[in-house]
Amino acid sequence: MGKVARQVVEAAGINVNELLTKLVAAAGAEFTTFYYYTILRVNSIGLEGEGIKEIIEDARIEDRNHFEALVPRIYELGGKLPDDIRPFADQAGCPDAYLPDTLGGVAAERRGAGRTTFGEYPGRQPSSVQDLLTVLVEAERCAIRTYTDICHYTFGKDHRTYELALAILNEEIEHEAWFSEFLGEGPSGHFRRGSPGVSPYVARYMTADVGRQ
Amino acid sequence: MEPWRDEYVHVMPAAELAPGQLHELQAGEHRVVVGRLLSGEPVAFQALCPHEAASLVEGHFHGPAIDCPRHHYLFDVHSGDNLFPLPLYPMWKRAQVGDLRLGRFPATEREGWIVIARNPYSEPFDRPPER
Ligand code: FES
Repeated sequence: MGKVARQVVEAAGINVNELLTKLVAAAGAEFTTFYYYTILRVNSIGLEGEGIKEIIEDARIEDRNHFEALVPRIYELGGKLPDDIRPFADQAGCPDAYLPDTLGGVAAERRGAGRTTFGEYPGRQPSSVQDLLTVLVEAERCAIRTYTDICHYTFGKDHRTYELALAILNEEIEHEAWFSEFLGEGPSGHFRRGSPGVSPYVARYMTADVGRQ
Repeated sequence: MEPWRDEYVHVMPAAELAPGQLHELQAGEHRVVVGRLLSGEPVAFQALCPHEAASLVEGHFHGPAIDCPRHHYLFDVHSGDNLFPLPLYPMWKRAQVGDLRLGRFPATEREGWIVIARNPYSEPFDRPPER
């Protein structure tokens, strides 16, 4: 914990305990999103699904990076992660990003009708990639609301948390744009990451050095 | 006396409610959040989130939806419907969660005042859920 680091934030008029609640909730959301994106990514198959696998991977690793970047700030301010992961997951600031029905149904319901010499190929319902992208884009929109809120809360008062939240916000906005563009919601301004999960904005806050070359 | 005076409660001067703002107040037996959408329309709804009872006055409008500050669920302030995340949930999870609706109160502006109906569109929930 940084004693003066906390005092100056308090002196600036921030309720540090409330801020810590927001930061732990944000860290929880990143951690659970990393988990759920792992499931979404492995289910992103087929001609269309394989095409979006790389950006799901970028977003997945960058969300893990966000968790890594948030944790030191939580402890600097005198906070902590819950000892038990279950309440940590429950207090996550965004809901769980479940596999949609069109991908997560009982295997038998997803099978194609036609038999082949190898048995039945697993069928995929026509909207499954759209449904997957919708789950992803809405998860990113939730993250944007989360970090916008933390930016508003800390602006001009807690400079270090503000800069960190702003860096994460920048990446969440890019993630939203990627998925939104794949949904065809608007023209694309999307450039590839140099390598998966490179975190161009957040990397400088990461002490664990994951996801970087 | 105007008929609406019996049915409505004057809650605050209209000039004190700017677009995007939210205020929490007691109206009759209910804790209510009164807000003004960016379109200028006044709206009123239950003060506690139907999910886990966070204070909605700390939330923000996103279009016609209120964004709860705790888990960022979105509720349509006109219909009370949950816009996020319920529509995205698979059936098994929806069955677990059940219905999540925001209790609303008809709200309007009369003679420089925000007035809201005494009777909600749906029973609001004023207490945290029993656990
Ligand atoms: S308490 Fe409002 S979204 Fe969870």
